[in-house]
Amino acid sequence: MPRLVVSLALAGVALGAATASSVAALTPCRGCTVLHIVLVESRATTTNASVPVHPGRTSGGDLFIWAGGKYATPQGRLSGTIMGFGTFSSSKPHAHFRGTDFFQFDNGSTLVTKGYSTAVGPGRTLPPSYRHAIIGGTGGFFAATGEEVGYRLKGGRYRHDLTVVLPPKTAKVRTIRSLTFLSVKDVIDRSGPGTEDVGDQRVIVGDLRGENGAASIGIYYVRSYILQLLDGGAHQWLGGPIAYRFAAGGTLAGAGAYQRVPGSAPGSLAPAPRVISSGTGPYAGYHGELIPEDVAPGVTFHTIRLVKGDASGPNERHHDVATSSP
Amino acid sequence: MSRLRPRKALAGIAVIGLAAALPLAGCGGSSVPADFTASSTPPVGTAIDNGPAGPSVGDTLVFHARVLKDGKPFGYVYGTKVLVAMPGEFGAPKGFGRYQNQLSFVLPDGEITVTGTQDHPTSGLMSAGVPVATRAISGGTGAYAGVTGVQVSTQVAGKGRTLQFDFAGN
Repeated sequence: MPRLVVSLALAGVALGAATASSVAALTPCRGCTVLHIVLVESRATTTNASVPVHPGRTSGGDLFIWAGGKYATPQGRLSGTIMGFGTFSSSKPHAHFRGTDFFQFDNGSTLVTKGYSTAVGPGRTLPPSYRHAIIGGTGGFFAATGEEVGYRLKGGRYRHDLTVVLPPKTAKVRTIRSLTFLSVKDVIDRSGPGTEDVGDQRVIVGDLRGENGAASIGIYYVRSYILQLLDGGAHQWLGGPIAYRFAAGGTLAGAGAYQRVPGSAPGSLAPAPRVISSGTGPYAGYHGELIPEDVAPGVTFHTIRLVKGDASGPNERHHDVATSSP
Repeated sequence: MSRLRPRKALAGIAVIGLAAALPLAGCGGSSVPADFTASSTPPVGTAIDNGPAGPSVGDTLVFHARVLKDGKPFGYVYGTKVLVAMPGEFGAPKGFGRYQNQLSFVLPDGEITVTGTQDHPTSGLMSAGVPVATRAISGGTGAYAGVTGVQVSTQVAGKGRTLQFDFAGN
């Protein structure tokens, strides 16, 4: 969530009740693992950028971006960096804000949360707590679902109480491998004329082909905002949603953050797994992760790992996964 | 909107939990919310003409609409749609742009998060009775925590839409 104008008086009041209801809301499937994780930001976000539609005044469509926050569990067993973006969808009488948080853990795992809150007043003060859906995870949080409750602390920091539901370890994993040829890139300069800056948007479309690179099997869309510039702008973090449309029918959707160094050689960057949150058609109910690997300029090998099932329903779905192509 | 400065004092923060694995074997009961159908009023939004004037990749519509169920107020939907392919290009059919959508349905018992793509005219509305979009339910909060599934929106006369929510596991 963005680091907006702060009023701290109510933070403690809301804390206890919201935590209790968060945990109670989830009835996980048999064999699922539930993790209750508290992440406390030790450093507030260092990038806090507002990208208004109309400079000088607030209006629907204004973008807000944050990055650089450091967090850890109380014992420090898990730590990482948080970044994200959000959009105001109206300005009167309340500013409705929809935000996406990317939790990038130092061990390489990720979690993505998404949700809504109401901001009030001319300064668009967010409430002292908010609730987000966990739409997925990667690595140790592969195929995660669940819920996050965030609390604003002093100094622009946040505490994140996560109820993470992981699929059974016995869940069958279905894998899709594809060579993706990135065919077009549009850069939408929302930050103002000049060099690339936080808030600029990139839209990339890719042709999905089979594992051997022959026949086209669909199209890949990735839309991302520049969330953070490091090293004088030479190193970027971006984040946003992704989508697959398969020629044989069905879709997959997801999101995630990734790093980019303009002009870097393929494979020179650390892999940036993305969350696959859900799908439609033959992929309805599936979720998991995308592991991209650069193989040549403009060519990426996508490994999509999926399990089927819901966190709150009968577990049988986790054990009934088709292994053939949809 | 203001930026906040990070504070140096970090330690001593009161927290109430820590990472703990808690396998819940035997919770066989289903708590998947029931599928349901609702409707939405015509959306109210802000169109952001990014890039060149007129339709172009990156154009954004930020909108909200009232959600009704059985004709009664049932919440709101807040959404963003961004043009990612011009009509006839990169998978978008002729006459339709391809949009990437993010929606939040804020309902009395929680929130449903929906994401996906949609083919839609770059100006004007879909014809009545035509499914506007079949999108993925990617999660939720409250009664909808942990859900996945499919959400189908269909244009109806009068510019509103019907909304069908099908949750995985039902």
